[in-house]
Amino acid sequence: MDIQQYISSGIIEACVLGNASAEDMLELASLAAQYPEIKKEWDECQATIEEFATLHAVPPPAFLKEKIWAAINDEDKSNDIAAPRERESVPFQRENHSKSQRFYKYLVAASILLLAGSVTFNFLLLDKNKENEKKFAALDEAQQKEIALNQEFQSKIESYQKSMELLSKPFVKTVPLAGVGTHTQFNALVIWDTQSKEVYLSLKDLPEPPKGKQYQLWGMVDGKPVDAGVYSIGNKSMQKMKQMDNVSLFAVTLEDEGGVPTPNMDQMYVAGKI
Amino acid sequence: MSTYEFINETLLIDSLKKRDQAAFSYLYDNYAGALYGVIIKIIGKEEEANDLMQEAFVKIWKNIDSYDETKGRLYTWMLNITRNTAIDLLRSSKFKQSRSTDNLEDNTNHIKGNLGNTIQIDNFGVKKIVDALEEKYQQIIDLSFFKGYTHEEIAKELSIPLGTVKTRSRSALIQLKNIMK
Repeated sequence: MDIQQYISSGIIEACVLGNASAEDMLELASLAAQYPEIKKEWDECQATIEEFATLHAVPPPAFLKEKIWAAINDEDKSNDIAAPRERESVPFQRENHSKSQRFYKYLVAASILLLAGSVTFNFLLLDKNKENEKKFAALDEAQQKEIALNQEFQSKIESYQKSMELLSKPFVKTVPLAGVGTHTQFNALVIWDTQSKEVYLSLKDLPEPPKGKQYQLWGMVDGKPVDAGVYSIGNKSMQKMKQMDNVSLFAVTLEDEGGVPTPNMDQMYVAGKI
Repeated sequence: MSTYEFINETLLIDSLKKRDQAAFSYLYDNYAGALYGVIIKIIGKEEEANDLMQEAFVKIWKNIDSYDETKGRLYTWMLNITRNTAIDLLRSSKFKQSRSTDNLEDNTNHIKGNLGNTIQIDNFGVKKIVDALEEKYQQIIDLSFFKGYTHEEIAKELSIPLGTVKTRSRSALIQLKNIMK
């Protein structure tokens, strides 16, 4: 980088006089940061034009300072582009008013503007709030559905895991229940841990029970049907039933919701011998 | 009027960034005259000068947060904002319309570089400076700084090559600096 060449090209003067492009200005700033000679040259140029401006100073009208300060404050509050305010056609007649009065007027104007703005904003917010409430309600519903689905999946996974566990244990009997009577197309499965006496039922392809009805599992013990529990989970996964011992046969009947003490034999869907 | 040299400029800038009223007051008291002078020199009329001055100060105030010394000196930075604000108006179609009836005399005065017209303070000292500056240098400063001409526009206006515009600008400022010393 030829510093002398840069300086004598007049680009610094161009920047200071306002003829240069934005790129030139950026380049100058960057070079000045790197090279003290360029910074010095730039400083001197600026000082020259500043001195020149100082010498050409014209005192502005007295009222302008406060007017500008008020405009700046408005600017800070409302972030608007300050448009030129009242056109003062005869500026000097106003000198009779006390300064505080004029300042007060601007304060009041600013407060009214603020208030109007605030009220409008409140109405907008109210509207927005109603909208948001609706959105929240919809989101909430959707979320509930998601949670329910998730729970379904979780229990399915759990039941599969349980099945796997059980099947790998010794003394665990897998009892397929085949369709009976008019229900020959259906199947269910019982897994019976003869050691812990735990019984698990999986309804496999049995149809959804009608409203008010539930499937009930029975275990035949000493020739008598013993209630092994009502199948209550809805998604066909494996459910742990009541503990049973000495069972010779398992059967599933369709009963009233909540189950019954003795099975309705012609409502038997599936059954399987041990 | 160069009292700004005696205060800590860093402190002033920090205070301005904090929206301190005393800082604004100091800034106004020390620089408003120079900025106003620039505005008057560019557009002439006093009514519009007031509005432009307000616009310039508002811009300065708004942009002070992004100012730092890598952007140059504070005074020059303010001068540029003020100058650009005035030149924007000068070059706007609205303004040009209102100026269409201006007599040629004003323009030729400007081109001649008679920069002494609007000086109200310390006439003798300034007049000496202005007269001492060669006419071609007065001209180039006027066209660049007060009229917002680009180098190309100046080259066209004065029928000189582009390179000459650049070197002449440099010479003008050097001479100006020497005169004012």
